[in-house]
Amino acid sequence: MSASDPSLLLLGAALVSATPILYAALGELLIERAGVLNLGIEGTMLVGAVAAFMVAHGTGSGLAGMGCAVLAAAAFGGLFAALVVGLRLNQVVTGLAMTILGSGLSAFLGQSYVGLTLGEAGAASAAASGVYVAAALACAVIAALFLRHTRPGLLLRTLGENPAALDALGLPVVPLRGLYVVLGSGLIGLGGAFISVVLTPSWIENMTAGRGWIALALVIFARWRPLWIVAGAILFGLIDAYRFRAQVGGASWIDPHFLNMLPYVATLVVLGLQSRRPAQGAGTPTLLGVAYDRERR
Amino acid sequence: MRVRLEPRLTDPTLAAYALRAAVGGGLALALSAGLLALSDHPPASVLDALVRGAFGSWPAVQSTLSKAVPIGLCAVGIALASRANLINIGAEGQFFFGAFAATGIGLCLPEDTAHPLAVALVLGAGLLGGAAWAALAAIPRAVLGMSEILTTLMLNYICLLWINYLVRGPWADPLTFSFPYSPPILDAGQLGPVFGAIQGGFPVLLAAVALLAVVDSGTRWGYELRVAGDAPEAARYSGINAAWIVISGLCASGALAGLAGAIEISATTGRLQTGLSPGYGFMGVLVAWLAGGRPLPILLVSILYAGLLNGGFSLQIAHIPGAISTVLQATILICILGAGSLARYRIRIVRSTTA
Amino acid sequence: MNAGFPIPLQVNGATAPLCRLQGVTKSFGKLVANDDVSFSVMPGEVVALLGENGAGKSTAMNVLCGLYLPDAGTVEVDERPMALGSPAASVARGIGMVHQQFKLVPSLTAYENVSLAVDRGRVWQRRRPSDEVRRLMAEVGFDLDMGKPVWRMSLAERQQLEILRVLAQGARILILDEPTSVLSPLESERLFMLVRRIVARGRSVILISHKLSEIRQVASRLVVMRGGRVVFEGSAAGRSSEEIAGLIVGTRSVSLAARPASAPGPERLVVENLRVTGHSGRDSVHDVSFKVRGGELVAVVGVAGNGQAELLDAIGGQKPPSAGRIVASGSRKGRGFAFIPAQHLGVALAPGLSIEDNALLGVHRRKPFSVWLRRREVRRHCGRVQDTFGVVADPDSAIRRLSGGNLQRIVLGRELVGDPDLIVASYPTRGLDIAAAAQIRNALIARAAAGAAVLMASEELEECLAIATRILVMSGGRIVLDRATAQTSLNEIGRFMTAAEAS
Repeated sequence: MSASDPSLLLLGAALVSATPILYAALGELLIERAGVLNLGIEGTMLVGAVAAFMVAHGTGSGLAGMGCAVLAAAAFGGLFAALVVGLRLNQVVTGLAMTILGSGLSAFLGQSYVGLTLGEAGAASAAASGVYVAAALACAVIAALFLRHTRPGLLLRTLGENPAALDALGLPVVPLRGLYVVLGSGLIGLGGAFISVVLTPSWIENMTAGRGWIALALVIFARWRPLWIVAGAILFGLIDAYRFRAQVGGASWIDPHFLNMLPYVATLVVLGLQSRRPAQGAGTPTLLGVAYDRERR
Repeated sequence: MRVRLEPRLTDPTLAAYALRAAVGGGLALALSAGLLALSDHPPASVLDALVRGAFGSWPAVQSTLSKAVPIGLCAVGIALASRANLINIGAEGQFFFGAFAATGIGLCLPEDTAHPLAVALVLGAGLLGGAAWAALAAIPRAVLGMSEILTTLMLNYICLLWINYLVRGPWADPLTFSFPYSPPILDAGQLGPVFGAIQGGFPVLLAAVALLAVVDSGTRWGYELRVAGDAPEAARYSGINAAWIVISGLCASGALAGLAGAIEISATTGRLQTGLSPGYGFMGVLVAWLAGGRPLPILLVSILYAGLLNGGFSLQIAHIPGAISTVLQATILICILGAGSLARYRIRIVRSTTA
Repeated sequence: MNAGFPIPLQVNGATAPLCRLQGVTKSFGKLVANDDVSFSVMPGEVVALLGENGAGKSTAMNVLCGLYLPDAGTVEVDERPMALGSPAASVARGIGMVHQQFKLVPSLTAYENVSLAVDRGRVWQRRRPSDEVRRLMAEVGFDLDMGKPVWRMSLAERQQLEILRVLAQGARILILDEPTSVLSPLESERLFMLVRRIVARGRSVILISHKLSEIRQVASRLVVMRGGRVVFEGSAAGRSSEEIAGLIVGTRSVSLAARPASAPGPERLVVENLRVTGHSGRDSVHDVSFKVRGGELVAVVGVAGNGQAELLDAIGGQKPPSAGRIVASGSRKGRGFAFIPAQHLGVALAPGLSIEDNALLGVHRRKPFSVWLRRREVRRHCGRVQDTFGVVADPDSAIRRLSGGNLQRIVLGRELVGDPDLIVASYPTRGLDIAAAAQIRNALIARAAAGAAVLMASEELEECLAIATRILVMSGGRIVLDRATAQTSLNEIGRFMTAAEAS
């Protein structure tokens, strides 16, 4: 097989286009495993994307951009955590508000960057795209090992399912949940940064174009397991790459809109199949979206 | 020292409700002013432009009221489902599916259909379309217990893609070239303004708000929604059919969102297009929550929200970036939501005692 | 970890108590749940803590666990005072409780659940039990697959796991709260073997149970509570079930209206060969048949957990029977058949709704209501329900703000509207103050006297003897005695309540 083998090229393209979703889904996985439903993924990704582009443009370093994206998105996640974990606001409503905030904030901060390019930094980042892709895969493996083989991972699994059990053992439920929201948001921001620094590289308003929602679907599709997220992301990346080729090449046996529906339809099917079996053991955080309140039972 | 949130033992009173709105609003204003000052836009003039764009002139008020219609209708539907503890975040999809059904009828009807009949058919199709799309989440919830939060959310994107496909493919209007528009629906199906200039859908919104109030206080169905939402065991004890409540509650919720979509088609655009909604369905979730699910507050909050949206457009004309209005919108939302938490919880600072 | 090993073996003739409660008093508002409670637990003994529901057993145990901070009193462990009101302190001093609702995480494996409590400060998660845990398992004789996820375990296995977890945390005083209520007789037998091995090493067990035969089988000492006080503390040896039952119930004289005396009317309720399968897969009601006629007030009694609650739930339509037939003279949806479940909030009442909404619950499909609920009619109906037993409150206020007595007054007031011919009431006076209980009893008597058939379950034998015309005694899910009240006695009932268990 040579490097120009079409199927290998397709797989490579699939991996690259899957990477932002992979980062975002892994971040969301951490947050949901901790029992918090974060609907602000799209906003968090945008914050990451604009922070990365601004810093990369200013410093000429793609890596610095990525780093700052993680910090900015983590801070954004910190606000979300303060609202839903600290103040126990409704997670669905607050998540939607965070989507609006992220979209507005990134558009506002990035207005003078529209139409600019990263020049050399962009070229260097694009050349290093393999590293970021590999790092995303590594993150998934680390997350899987963390959940399965470490004590903090055990606590994380318990956090979304039976926080009262942790509380009874004297372990801090609220700080731990906050921590995972912040960490997960950082990863989500990295997904956004990958789009603006490596994939395009440029900044446009709302450039994540719904990838956050696909990431959310992917977490459910993967039934909250990191390695399945990799499989799902590659699958969706393949669909994406195929669609792109079909658009360039002209004829396609199916309209691309229907291909784009696939992630959501597949997620619904998985949800349906799962509801027929006992939820236990599936890794589903059964208390997803419920604020922990010791006095209520 | 630790900070603890303790649930308040009494329900928030009207005064607490007003106080939370005032505290939240004040905080939002202060934060927004700070943000504007930082970005070299004088806060006073931005605020002025915002309010002027929302309510400053008769055309502005007209435009605000017409935007309040879809937001308000979606919010009423969402509030209705929330009575039964059903969280419908799929109003966006139901809105579009209603619009799709309305357009479908509007394109099929013969041109000489009588005006009232055509309007009724178009709006009726919207109702049914929205209900049908909601049923895709309601039936799995009733039969399999699938979380309606996740299914309604996923169905949004499927519907959006379906609409995209239609207006770029089979329903693309050959006359609008590259714009993703469908052909216009028949003239007789267009809902004209009432009282001279107010969007024809506005009375529908008023009726929906009144309907919510009636369902709440004067119907058996509304009562059963409430019982099923509060205590499923008590519902079973009193002979309430839980599956029927889930399906009827979610479908009615979807029907209202679908009606909103049909009104957009019939009274505003006259044709199906991808930009039909800037997220009215999601705004409906926020409005329903901010209004505490109560009918009259929903009406007021949806008008205010529409004003904010409209004011944002007028900022752009005044060369202030539209993104500012989005940021303001989110800041206000988050501040009022945060203040809402204070209405439900008491913050206590506890000096830690070493055991 | 592994606090407190080894302990001197002092099973017999121990001198110092392992743990002592001294003058513990705890009140909730006006209710004094524990009034000067004192007792001690010696190393190596099984103490049975007995008493009716509401006697204050749970409160005392929650003080011991650190969940409640008492108003007065001390707790000593190893003759040193323990810090009160802190679960961590109680755990550190070796007190562990197995609650009726297990605190396990279903998706984790058995070992992971133990590990949550034990392996603090580790980074890598162990895959298999540590040596300490395995030694403990071998010592006490646990038979558990530690790699199995909890959701696939039976209730008995989960209970063993919970006990193991508490012991692994270093507990020397193990509190078991009604442990056999979820177990089959065979499983109960195995649990008691486990309990004997646990105490054989100088640990102690406090057992809360209603089943007298079990207590005689395993307990070495009895502590009996009544009305928040300890009324008896002494050796269990040589005491008969009747004697223990007498200690628990005590002798109370309650002024009651006379039982209804009327000629039995037509059959209103016929139960034939009824069988109800409980959640653990075994039958909680076995082949039960009986009839209730108009004018009768029939009381179902038995030691808690012998199928009385399940029987009434099945008749009330709350639990589908697995076999048999129930014929009632009316339907719950129409009029004529009132059912008062044992739990008010959440079943008979929707806690988040107003008094007015709750007054309508289940009645809302009858006349004069239609698909429209007219405000004035609803208001009038609510007034009637409140007036039946004189509940004075704003109809728009939330129901959960009412006291227990008023909650039951609302439920009964609502269910008795329309003068039903058949009333089935599950523990209608449980947890009520004297005045409320008397009011409810008198209402049931009045309905029976007026010709309705009344079936009630009760824990209070005195009450039943005073007001019932007939008494059904349940034991092991069967009706073992069905006799007119005039032809039986407290002694006979007590004997039949415990007969099946003793055999």
